[in-house]
Amino acid sequence: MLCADVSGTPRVSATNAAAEADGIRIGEALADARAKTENLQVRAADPAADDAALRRLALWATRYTPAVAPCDEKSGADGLFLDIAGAAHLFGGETRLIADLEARLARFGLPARLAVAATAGAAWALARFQHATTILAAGAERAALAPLPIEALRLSAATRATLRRLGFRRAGALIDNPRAPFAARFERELLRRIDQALGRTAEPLTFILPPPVYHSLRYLMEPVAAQEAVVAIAQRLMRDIVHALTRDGVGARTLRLALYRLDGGTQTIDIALTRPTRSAPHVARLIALKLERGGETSAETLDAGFGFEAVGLAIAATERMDEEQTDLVSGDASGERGEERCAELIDGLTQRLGPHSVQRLAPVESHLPERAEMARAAGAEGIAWPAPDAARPRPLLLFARAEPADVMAQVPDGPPRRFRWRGVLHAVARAQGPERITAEWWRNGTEAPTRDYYLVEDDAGRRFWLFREGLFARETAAPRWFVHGLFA
Amino acid sequence: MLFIAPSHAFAEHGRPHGHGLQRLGLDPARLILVETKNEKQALWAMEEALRSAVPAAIGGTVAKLDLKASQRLQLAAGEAGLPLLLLRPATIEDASAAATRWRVGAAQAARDRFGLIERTRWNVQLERCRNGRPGDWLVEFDHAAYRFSLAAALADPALSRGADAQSKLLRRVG
Repeated sequence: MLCADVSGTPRVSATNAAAEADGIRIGEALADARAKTENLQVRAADPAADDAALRRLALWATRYTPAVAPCDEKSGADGLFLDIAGAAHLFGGETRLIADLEARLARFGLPARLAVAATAGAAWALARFQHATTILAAGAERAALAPLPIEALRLSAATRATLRRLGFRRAGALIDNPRAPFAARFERELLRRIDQALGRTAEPLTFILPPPVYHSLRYLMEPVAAQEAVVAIAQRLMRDIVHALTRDGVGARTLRLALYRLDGGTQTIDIALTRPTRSAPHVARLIALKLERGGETSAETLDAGFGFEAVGLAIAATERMDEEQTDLVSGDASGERGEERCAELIDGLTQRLGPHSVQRLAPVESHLPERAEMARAAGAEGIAWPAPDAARPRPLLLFARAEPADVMAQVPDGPPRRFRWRGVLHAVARAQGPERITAEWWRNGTEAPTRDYYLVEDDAGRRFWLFREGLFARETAAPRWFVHGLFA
Repeated sequence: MLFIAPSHAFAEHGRPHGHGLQRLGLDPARLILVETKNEKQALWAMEEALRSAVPAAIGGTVAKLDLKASQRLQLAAGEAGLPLLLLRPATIEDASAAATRWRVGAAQAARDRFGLIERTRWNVQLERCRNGRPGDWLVEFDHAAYRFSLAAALADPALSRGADAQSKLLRRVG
């Protein structure tokens, strides 16, 4: 059994079948429980680990339906809701689906109580308070709930205690009585829960994965483990979806490949695209590249275990995609096609090299050179650059952090004469400047000193961009020098 | 246009600066920077980009390049018909399958009468060239016209004549 601290006293928080047989009840003090039976095994409860395990199970359960919601405190703690509307027939009906689920859970060593009902509330109640697995026909909720205790309605502890004191024991008594007195006496929760259980109001569930727009799933006769096989299956799944995408005039922007392992684990591979696509080979290639990258970083390596028994491909986001207009004469649409191939190249590089490795430069309105541009994802729309100002030279290469240099100048606020940078002494042949750049004082917390930039050419013709930080005698007594960039 | 380099190269030599690229007549909005974790990935990315034949030109930098890797790149570039410009450290002299090898050095810039930089200059040496003769030139860039040209009038008349003779050769190779 498990125990957890409740307001300073260790209390029983979960029991197994043997402990229940000995009369130990959830909620009693640990000392009382110890008095009831000898050889009691006690472990500390670990809610975080329980939660993580439940999430793992919820991910696995997406093999039955993409809409799986782990119950949280709001919807009534520990358990899973599976929205099997429209998915049951794939398994040969609700009975077969439940039997399959029960058998698989039993194989993992997880005892489970299952129920199927038209509302989440009714299913919750039946799973907990009906001993046999029940499949309830729609419309029969009222009759099924009536004999159950009031706990079956997912009420808060305070409401339950009040109801018990008033003599209500069965849910049926609450359902059949007139509503007005309840509405006056209790929080809105009571009537809301009843309505939810009976299907009078809708209950929104928070699904573990956003429900996909398009989904395709394949159960395999033989489990697969090889990367090539997974990629080949993914391509076939994408080909299944393409018809629906073409019909609706959209293309996939975000994809998720879910691999269901034989032992209950789930692995997902997420892919984001620069442009919507409907091309199955392109998607397959991206998945292959992503898996190859996993081989190097081990973060997303394919961990097949005993093999995957099912593979699902979901499209989480789509975007409008117009039909390609091909030129009748030459048979190609070079402009559009070129853009698409460019997006494919960016996607391919991004999948293999990581999300921030493929970038495009965009201008930023700032005087500070290091702020004057930023790197954006290459797929984003390009921003037009302003025309360059001939009076302000800018280097071809800019260091991310300006590098300190030892500078000899004739006068402290004059141009440099000689400087040592990266251990090499450069004699300055010509210096052009200064260009004075002040810190952005309107930004919070920038008390940076003024910079004087010089374009410096050494005697070998190498051109550097140096700056002196701080105005001599006004801002600092010993200004420091930095090399900020290199000119071509 | 694609520029590919491993991240340590960006750290050592600095990142391409959009405002600086503009001054050389390149539109930064058309440049895609690819930063890879190591040189192996950089080579892979170059080959991938060449095979896709999408960019107009590919630039990149790698320090280590063995003959086999350079042959692969040469083959891919030849099939795609795209130029691949590899920037490599000046000290490296190893064998490569590249069509040409240029050595670009700094040179004193041309000055106007106030001593300000008017046209920046480079010493460009063609060291190796398939079906061509090596040579060296002094190249200058005109900031106003966004144009590279051979520096015409030099202080040393001998060098100046050399430049004239070799400009024909540049055309033939190009």
